[in-house]
Amino acid sequence: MNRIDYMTELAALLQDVPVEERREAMKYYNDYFDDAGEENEQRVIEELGGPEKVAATIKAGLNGGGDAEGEFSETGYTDTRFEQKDVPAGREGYTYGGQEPPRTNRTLKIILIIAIIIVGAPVVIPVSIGITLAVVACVFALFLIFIALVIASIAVVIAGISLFCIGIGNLVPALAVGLALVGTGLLLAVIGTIATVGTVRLCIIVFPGIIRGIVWILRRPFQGRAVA
Amino acid sequence: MVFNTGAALLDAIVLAVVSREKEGTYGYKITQDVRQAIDVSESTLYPVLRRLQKDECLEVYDQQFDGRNRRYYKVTEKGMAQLNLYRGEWKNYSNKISELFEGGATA
Repeated sequence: MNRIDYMTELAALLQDVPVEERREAMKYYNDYFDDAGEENEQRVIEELGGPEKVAATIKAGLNGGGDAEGEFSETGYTDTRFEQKDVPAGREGYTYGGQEPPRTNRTLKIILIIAIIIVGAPVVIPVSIGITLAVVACVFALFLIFIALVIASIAVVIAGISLFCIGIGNLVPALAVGLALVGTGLLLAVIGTIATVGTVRLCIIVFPGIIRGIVWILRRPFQGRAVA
Repeated sequence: MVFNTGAALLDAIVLAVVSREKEGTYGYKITQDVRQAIDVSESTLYPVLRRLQKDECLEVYDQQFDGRNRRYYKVTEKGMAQLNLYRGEWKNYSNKISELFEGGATA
């Protein structure tokens, strides 16, 4: 390994420190080689240790607390944290591979999601369509029940009025029957009117509730997604 | 050397070495000077110099030398104050240790 190789490898190992720090460190070691002179190049490379060690020392210095771990002994300054990194067996082949594991994980996740969609689609899509249609049908039915109540009440009113008219028509030929019909007709008309008013009121109360319920059900998946 | 030394003493030694040069000195020379006193790996001093620079105990400037820009380190006023503090502490500490050692020898 010559000086160029050494500096190139050091620069590569410092890719993850701020630009300013990398530039400072590269300037220092470039000066260092210059000042040591060409004749001392190999000695300096040997004494510095591998670029991995120099890079680790620089990064430890950046983390602030990096000075407390080091100590001097008869063998010189050693940093206990780097001792294992000093003689790394397979370190020569070090590349920028550090970012790859997360990337493959993400790809794997996307593939899994696609697979689940493909496998699950024939089951999930018909089932969800079925559930949606059932819910829509129930809501529709609920509306119709209340509308039917209103119609029934109106029918009662109409029946009452009809009876009242028939009763008046019958007053001349048969007074008793006519009076009974008129009375029943009036009674039915009144009951029908009360029922109509009641059911219409009921609809006014119930329909907004149902609509609110539908809106709430439709909104739920979106809210859930926003929270998650 | 059988005694281990902490980071503060290394800071003090580096400040002392740099302060000897009024016009400032450069990384390679600092390393060689420090290595006259203690056996220190060549890769040790850069983080120390960088930290002292960030703590404003050292200032740097580039100056032409031999057709290139060489980086020089110089002790600031704050650095001198720090160095004087270290000197006092060291005197106090080394006196006590010496007293213990020599007192023990005569007793």
